[in-house]
Amino acid sequence: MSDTAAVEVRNLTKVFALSLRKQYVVAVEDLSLTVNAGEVYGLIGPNGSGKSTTMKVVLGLMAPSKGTTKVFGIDSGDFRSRNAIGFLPENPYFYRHLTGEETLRFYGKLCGLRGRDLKERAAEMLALVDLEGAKDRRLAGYSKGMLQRIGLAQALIQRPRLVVLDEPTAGVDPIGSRKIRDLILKLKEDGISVFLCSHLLEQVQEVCDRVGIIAHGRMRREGRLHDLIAVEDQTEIVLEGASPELLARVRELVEKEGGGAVWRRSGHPRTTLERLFLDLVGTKENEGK
Amino acid sequence: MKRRIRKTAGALAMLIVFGLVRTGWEAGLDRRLTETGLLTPPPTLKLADQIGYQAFFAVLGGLRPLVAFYTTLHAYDAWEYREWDTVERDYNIVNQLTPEDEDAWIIAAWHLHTNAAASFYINDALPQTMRETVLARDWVLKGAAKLEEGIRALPDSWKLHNELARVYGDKDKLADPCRAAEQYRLAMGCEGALEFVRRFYGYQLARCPGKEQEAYDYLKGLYDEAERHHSPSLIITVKDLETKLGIPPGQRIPDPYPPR
Amino acid sequence: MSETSTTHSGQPSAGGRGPLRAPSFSLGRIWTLATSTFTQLVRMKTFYFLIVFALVVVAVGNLDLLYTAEQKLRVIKNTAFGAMSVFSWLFAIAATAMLLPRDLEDRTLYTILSKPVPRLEYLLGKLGGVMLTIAIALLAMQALFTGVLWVQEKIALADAYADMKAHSNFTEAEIQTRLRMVAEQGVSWGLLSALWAIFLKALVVTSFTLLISTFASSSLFTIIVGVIVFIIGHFHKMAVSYWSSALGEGALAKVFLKPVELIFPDLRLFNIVENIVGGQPVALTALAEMTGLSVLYAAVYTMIGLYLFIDKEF
Repeated sequence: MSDTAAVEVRNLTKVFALSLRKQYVVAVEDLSLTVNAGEVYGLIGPNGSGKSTTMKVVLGLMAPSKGTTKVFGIDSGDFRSRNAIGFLPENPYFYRHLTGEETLRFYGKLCGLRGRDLKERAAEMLALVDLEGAKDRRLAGYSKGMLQRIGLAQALIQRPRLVVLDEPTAGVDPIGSRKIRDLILKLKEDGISVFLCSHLLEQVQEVCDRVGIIAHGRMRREGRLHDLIAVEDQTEIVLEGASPELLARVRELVEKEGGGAVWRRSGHPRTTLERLFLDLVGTKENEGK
Repeated sequence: MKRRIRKTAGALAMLIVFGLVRTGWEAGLDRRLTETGLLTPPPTLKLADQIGYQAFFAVLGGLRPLVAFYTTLHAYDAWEYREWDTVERDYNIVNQLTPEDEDAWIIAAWHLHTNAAASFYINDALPQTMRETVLARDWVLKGAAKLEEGIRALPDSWKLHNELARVYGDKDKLADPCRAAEQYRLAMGCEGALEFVRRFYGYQLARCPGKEQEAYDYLKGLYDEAERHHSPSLIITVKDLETKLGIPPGQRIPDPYPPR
Repeated sequence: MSETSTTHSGQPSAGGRGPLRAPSFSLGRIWTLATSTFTQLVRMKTFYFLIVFALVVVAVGNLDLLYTAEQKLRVIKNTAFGAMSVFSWLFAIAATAMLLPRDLEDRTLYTILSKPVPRLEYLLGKLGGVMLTIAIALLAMQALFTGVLWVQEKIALADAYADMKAHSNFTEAEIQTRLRMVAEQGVSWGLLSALWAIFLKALVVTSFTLLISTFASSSLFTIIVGVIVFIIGHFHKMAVSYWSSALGEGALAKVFLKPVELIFPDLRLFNIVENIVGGQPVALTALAEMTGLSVLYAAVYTMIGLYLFIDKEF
């Protein structure tokens, strides 16, 4: 049983009709992906690539035009599949009239928690996201980062086995981002599967076991992060405080005595995933498709 | 888009099927509620012209008593400024909206047969004959007609008969004791009528030409029935009739104010 | 299905326990949604209306016009019930119209529907929340107004008694009859039936507004359509009888008016409130029938709303 995938998307196609005149937009086309139990999966892609649509289908907020999505073996159309899911939407808004604690109790009750269990769980979650001091304040007075954290707490309230995060650090300051990153790592430690959508590559790179790169509704590349970004025949040298003269001499050395080695580039290091990402989706030619 | 059209059609179809199921039931319920006096039949469109469409929709919406109340306030204002036509029009609306309100009929009539009439009667700016005979009498008649209308709406109201009797019986108004007596008689027959109505019937009957003997027998009966009927008016009227009809002294009632 | 999800305890979760079972229908979840809606509406300061209401009722109670004692009591009752009716309609339309579009706009809906909450329960929760708020507001208004009416009734009875005693020739029976007539317009159990009828009408209005909001794109649209349905719902019976008397039982009238009659609710039936308040006795069977009809309306409208909402995509 435990090898059932947390999320299984098979040949998902989602088509939106634009008008009566048979104009359609294909948001997602024949997309398949698997989030294994216990892993952190990052789905990355530019705006409008179909990330959110895929996520909504997984959550049952949309029905697939073709294909299937399952959460721990239960079809996403069945509301009971949501039992195992904790979801944090992008820039979440909750009921502004509720306090932090009331918000958690509300979502906890929706998941069937009651009484002391609910109370303890809410307190535990408030502690987890470091909002104990703000638990009696209404959400109307929360900052963006606090809303994101209370959002994460409500997503975790019923001890879900899968956490779905949509741009979890959008609009959150660096310290807040770091807190959220630490929380994701903690979830992973606890064996909870995480399905993450983001365009913040650095973040994905830091926490994800596997990534899928999506563009124009299609999966471009999917695999273990390590495998995706490793380039076997290249070597990276990172220098600190190197003068231009030194670089020029190193380059000269490579060209003269490299024995076939080619100087590819120099400059300030970029994250390797970002490079891959731009290679796959970022070129202008792709957009016409 | 196709889905939207399909869904809209589906929803409309469900509404229509539900409509077919419920309209029969509702028609029956409507009839039963109307029969038991719980539901007032819808107003006619003519009312809309009288009260304006806003008030008309309020009436349709179930705020009939509130619209009537508002109109009463308006009439009260008009009364203070002696705008009698406005008072009359407003009360026509009030009575039309709440025909079940006995007191509204009485107040409406009172404004007409007493307030408006008196206001014309004492208006020095008008020629005397006109104000006394034409205008004042006109308004008294309007008041009486209002009460007749009220009686048609609430035939079992002793109060309305009593009011109409007073307008007939008043010698400054219609001065028609025979018809006044008739109204008092009708009032007596209604449930809840107070006892004074019985005495007042006798007094008016006594003043109705040719009914003296009948009035005497009736009032003497009351006199003998209970001491609470021994009011000064009754005693004076009976004494009057004794003299008129030449009742033998032995059968006369004691004189409370014997000549010294 | 829920079996599967409970037996899934392969991984230790944060709390050391597996996720909970989700029953396919849960009154608890509906209640949670309803009370949350109630809190939302209350914290929007809706209940300030009660202050206005209290002022109006007290003011009308002290209005000194040309009234008999009975009339004065009747005016208090009519004003109070009129205000309660208007409140319930406005609230039923405006508050309901706001709920769904706002949840959608704020994306709160995502967070709720991504919990194990069937969409039917979401709709029932919203309906329940609005009705709970209306019920509590109506009960509060009823309590307030009963207090005022009770005081005015006692004053009216004392006045009427003193007045009749001053004229010595009224019998005790006559005095009692008069007092009974005054008391008839005072506080009575019958007024609770009027309150119930107001609540039933609010139930119908709330459920059709909720239905509208399942396909509406904004609160404003819902309110406008809701008000139109509300007006036509009172008007169409009259229009049918007017048209058929003016045009005869013509095909034209039938073609135009029959669908209107079938699609729109008949709200005029609820005008029984005014006559109950006026003192007309109401049979329990009539009240039960009205209740049945209203519940049927609410059930059908909610089901049609669910039909539109069940596969709505966000």
